[in-house]
Amino acid sequence: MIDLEIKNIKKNFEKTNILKGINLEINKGEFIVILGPSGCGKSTLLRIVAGLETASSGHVFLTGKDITVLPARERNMAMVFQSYALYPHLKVYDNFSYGPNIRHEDKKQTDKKIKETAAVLNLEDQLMKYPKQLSGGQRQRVALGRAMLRNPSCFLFDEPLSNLDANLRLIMRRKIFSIHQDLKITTLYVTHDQLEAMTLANRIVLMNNGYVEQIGAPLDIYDKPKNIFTAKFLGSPNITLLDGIIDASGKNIKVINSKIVFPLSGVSLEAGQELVLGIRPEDILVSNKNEANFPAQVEFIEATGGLSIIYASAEGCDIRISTTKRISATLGDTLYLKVQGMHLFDKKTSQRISTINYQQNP
Amino acid sequence: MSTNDNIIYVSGKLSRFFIYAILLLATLFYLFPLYVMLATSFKTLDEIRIGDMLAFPQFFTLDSWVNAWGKSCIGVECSGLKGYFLNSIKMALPAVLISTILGALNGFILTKWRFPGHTLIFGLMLFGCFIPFQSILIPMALVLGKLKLAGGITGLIIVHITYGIGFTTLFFRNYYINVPTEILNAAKMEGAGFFTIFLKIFVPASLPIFMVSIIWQFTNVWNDFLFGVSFAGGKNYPVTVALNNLINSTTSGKEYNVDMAAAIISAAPTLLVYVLAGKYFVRGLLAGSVKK
Ligand SMILES: Nc1ncnc2c1ncn2[C@@H]1O[C@H](COP(=O)(O)OP(=O)(O)O)[C@@H](O)[C@H]1O
Ligand SMILES: [Mg+2]
Repeated sequence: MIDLEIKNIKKNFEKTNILKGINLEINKGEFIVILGPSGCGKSTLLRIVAGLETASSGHVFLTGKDITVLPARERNMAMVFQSYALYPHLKVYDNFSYGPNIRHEDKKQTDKKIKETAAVLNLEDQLMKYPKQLSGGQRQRVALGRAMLRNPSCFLFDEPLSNLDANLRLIMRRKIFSIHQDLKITTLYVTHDQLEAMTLANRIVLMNNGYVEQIGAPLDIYDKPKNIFTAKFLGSPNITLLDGIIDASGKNIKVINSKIVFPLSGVSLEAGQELVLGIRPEDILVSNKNEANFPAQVEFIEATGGLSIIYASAEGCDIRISTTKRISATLGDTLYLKVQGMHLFDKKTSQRISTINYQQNP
Repeated sequence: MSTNDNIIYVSGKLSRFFIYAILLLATLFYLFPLYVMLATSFKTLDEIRIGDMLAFPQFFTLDSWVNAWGKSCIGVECSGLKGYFLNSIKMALPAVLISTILGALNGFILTKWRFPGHTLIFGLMLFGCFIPFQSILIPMALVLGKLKLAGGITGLIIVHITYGIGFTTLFFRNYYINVPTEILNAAKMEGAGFFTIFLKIFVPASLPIFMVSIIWQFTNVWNDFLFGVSFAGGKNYPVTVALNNLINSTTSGKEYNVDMAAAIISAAPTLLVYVLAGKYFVRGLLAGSVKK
């Protein structure tokens, strides 16, 4: 069942076109993460859904009802802001009770709910403190608790974890995940952090420059990126991108300005077709001279223990490799690399044409 | 501790001593007129005539205070300042409170509930702060005449509110501009409307600037002479005008002791406000300048 529907939303600030027609259908209880580089319009979209910003055109529907012009306070949505936006002059308890009180909810009931929420968020001992007496993580939890007490029709998050350190971020991510598991409330979560998106989302909405680039389940987007932007945005380290062309025989892909050649498989393309090859770092294996596709010179290795990330150069092309094997090589050493699979993108349109998996079709 | 440190320590102490000495002198110099006023107000007229202005009162008497408050003649009426003091209270309280509340509302709207043209409106209000009093006397008198409010306290209150709004708006606008807009948005998301947000979040969060506005407005309204003498009349004069009239209407020579007592009575409320709330004034003025 569709809970929240965003239909052809556009937004201009003065003359600049920030949102260029966003369409999105969100099912009841779904956790949607809006992911994209900073400045692409994620917050603007979220604020339009919240009613804090008015769209230049388009509509927002909540359970089938057009809420495009409904004021924020009548939407029954709860929002968590990056800056937490706690009321500075109120103690934690009063931050919690402020909303229920202005909505004239039963006081006894509210008190009970506040105590329950505080328990869920480990804030029992902080209720009589002011926001400025709390740590960043605690403030974040107060903001979350305030949103939970709203008992909303949907949750809106705008980069809620980006002011926290890495460790707290992980803990809070889990907390948000488990709260969603419990409450199953439709959630729209904005972030520029791919890790948050991959771990939290039922579906990711990948935005760029005011457009939606791709919508899909995290691993689907990772495995089948619609275009070069998507392939580049997800994955760490970044996917290796090489310019290529189909050779005269139509059977091989030749990397431009190099002697590197890959066999074309699973799809037939015209000779002379220009491509961009996208190779995930985990799809490049360190192999031996006989089996390898090409040699490359090591430029830099980041050994993080479990994972080694190798930055290498092959005839002027930058190659990124990640492997669980420990590689004992130093700057300038030659590695023989074998490619297990790659995405083929049309050079002109940036769209993915096909994905080759050499393991299945050797 | 090395010798060097000792020298610095000693010289630090020495300069401290000089600083305090100078401050003390300045304070004495500043308080000197107040001392003369107080001393004179407790003396009899005879003692003033023969005596030294700086001397401490020999026959300590409260007569001149009693006279200034309830007996001295102002024009033909001989009932002291008390009626006019009450006028000033009746004028200052509503004028201060209303202009402060309107300033808070304006500041809130101009920063957090903006409308097209808000910069122009704010610019005009600022401009209003710098219009010289004298230039508006005649147009204001005409307006008050039309409204049938000329000569009364109500008219005076309206003039002070009008003239004060520019300043109070400026105070609150500069304070509220530093309150994160996200807090407003958070409250909206919780279901709060315009007045709920203003009254339950912005007003309680802005007590320091309320103090600034109240002190500023109270001082200006209470101390005003020009508007009082121009727009009020007869029994409706504020205490400042009455003080002037009291001093000018003495028939049998100057009664300095009564004049001094009357002057202190007239100035007492503003002094009191500063003593009681001065620290909030400083705190409020500093509040906007330090970002958290
Ligand atoms: N109120 C505004 N007035 C003018 N430009 C704005 C306003 N709000 C956002 N923008 C612009 O719109 C773009 C998108 O902003 P935003 O939605 O905050 O991006 P994101 O959240 O993806 O980082 C940015 O270039 C920003 O400068
Ligand atoms: Mg943003």
